[in-house]
Amino acid sequence: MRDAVSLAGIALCALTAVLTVRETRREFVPYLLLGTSALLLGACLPGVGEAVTFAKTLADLVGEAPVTAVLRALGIAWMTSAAAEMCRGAGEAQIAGWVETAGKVELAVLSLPFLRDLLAAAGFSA
Amino acid sequence: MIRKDGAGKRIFTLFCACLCFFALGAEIRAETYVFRAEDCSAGTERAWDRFREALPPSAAEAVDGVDLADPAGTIAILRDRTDPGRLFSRLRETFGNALRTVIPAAAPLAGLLLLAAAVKTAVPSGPTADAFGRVVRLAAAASVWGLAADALRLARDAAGTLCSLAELLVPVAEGICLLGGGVTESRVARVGMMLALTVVEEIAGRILVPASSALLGLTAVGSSGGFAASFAAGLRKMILRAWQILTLSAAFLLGTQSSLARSADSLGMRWTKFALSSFVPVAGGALSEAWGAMSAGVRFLRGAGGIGGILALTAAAVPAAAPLLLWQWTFGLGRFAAGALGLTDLEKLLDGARGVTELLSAFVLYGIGIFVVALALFAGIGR
Repeated sequence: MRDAVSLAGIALCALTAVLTVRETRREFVPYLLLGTSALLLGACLPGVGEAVTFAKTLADLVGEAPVTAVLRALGIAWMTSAAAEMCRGAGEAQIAGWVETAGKVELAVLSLPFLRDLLAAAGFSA
Repeated sequence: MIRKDGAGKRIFTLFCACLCFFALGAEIRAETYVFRAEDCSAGTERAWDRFREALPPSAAEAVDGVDLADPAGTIAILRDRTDPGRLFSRLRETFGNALRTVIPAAAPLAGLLLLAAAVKTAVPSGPTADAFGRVVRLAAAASVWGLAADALRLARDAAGTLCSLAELLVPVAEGICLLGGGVTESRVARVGMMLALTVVEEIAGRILVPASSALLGLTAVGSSGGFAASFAAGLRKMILRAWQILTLSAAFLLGTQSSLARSADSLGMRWTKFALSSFVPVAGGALSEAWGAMSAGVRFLRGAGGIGGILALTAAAVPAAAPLLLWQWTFGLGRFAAGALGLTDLEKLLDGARGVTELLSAFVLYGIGIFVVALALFAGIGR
């Protein structure tokens, strides 16, 4: 609860700063946005340790491959989404689009081993 | 009054000659008949021993002590083995063993549901969310397909065991029918059992295995709905209905053929008894009674062979069918859990897997049913 309140407070402060700086020094706005995003992402990192522990428990149940692949896919989705939002915030929609495309290609490559397993189970092995 | 003139003496002499001839001849024919019956009986016993040797250990226990050379004793043993309390405890033990196999194997399914539910809340919105969703669906499909492929292997093994054991029972049924003079019925029993064997083997190899793989593939592709999912559901229902109609038709055909053959043989046997008692002097009545006693003995043998066969087949095939039922319920439970956790894609995938295992368990159970009906008709249960 306390962490969520702190994060909300940081976000509101950053918003106020951006609105103020935009009136006077427009060129500093992207840097403010980048800094705020990095701060908020960094605040989420302590929770990742607990998620990794839970993922190890699930890996024992499900198997290493699916859990690792899903978590990697989640990481790719987060990074892609964060980068695309930053680019859009800075007014660069084209870069944001290419970042998202790169993320989709990464996710497609990640799903290839499962497609191979499904084809092998169906009897279409190379 | 016997006339003592020349014609009367000739008739009396002829009568005595015929009497001696038939008395001696009937005795020889009876010995020959007994010899042939023993030879036929030895062949049937050898076929029964081959059947018992081929049984898996769990099924061999069900017919332990059953000896066709002693039908009366065997009936007592089978009466004990078909005790409802004993059968229920065996069934409970079978399902308990199956549960101990299925629960550890179903752990990946539970882990997958938890992973998907945990990850679902953390997925960022945007264009990459769809791509991420596809990765999760493919990972889930690969895991579920692995579990369903195990179920498919179980069904194929169960069908193989059922067919190989039923094939060994065919000479037993044929031999017992011939012992009782049921020539037509032995032919019908052979043809009927071979027909059931062919149907089960061909359906398993040519239709069931490819259809189940195709259904799993369609389910994996169509887990988000659309044409593939509806086509898979429709195909599954069609295969299930076709199999039900086929097995019911085969059972009806076996029943009618068996009934007609038995009527024909019964008519032949009654005529033989009448001929023996009417046309064979002196020994004819005794032969007719011996034939009747032998027929009663063969009815004991039919009961022993038929009920023993039913017990052995079900004891061999039910332990293979029990895990299939449990997998069907496990996938059903998983579907319910996926629905409760809001994982609609996984819910459809698990529903597809449940449908495939339902098809496999129906195939095995109906397959067992068709052989049980054939053996019950042979044993004359309910007559």
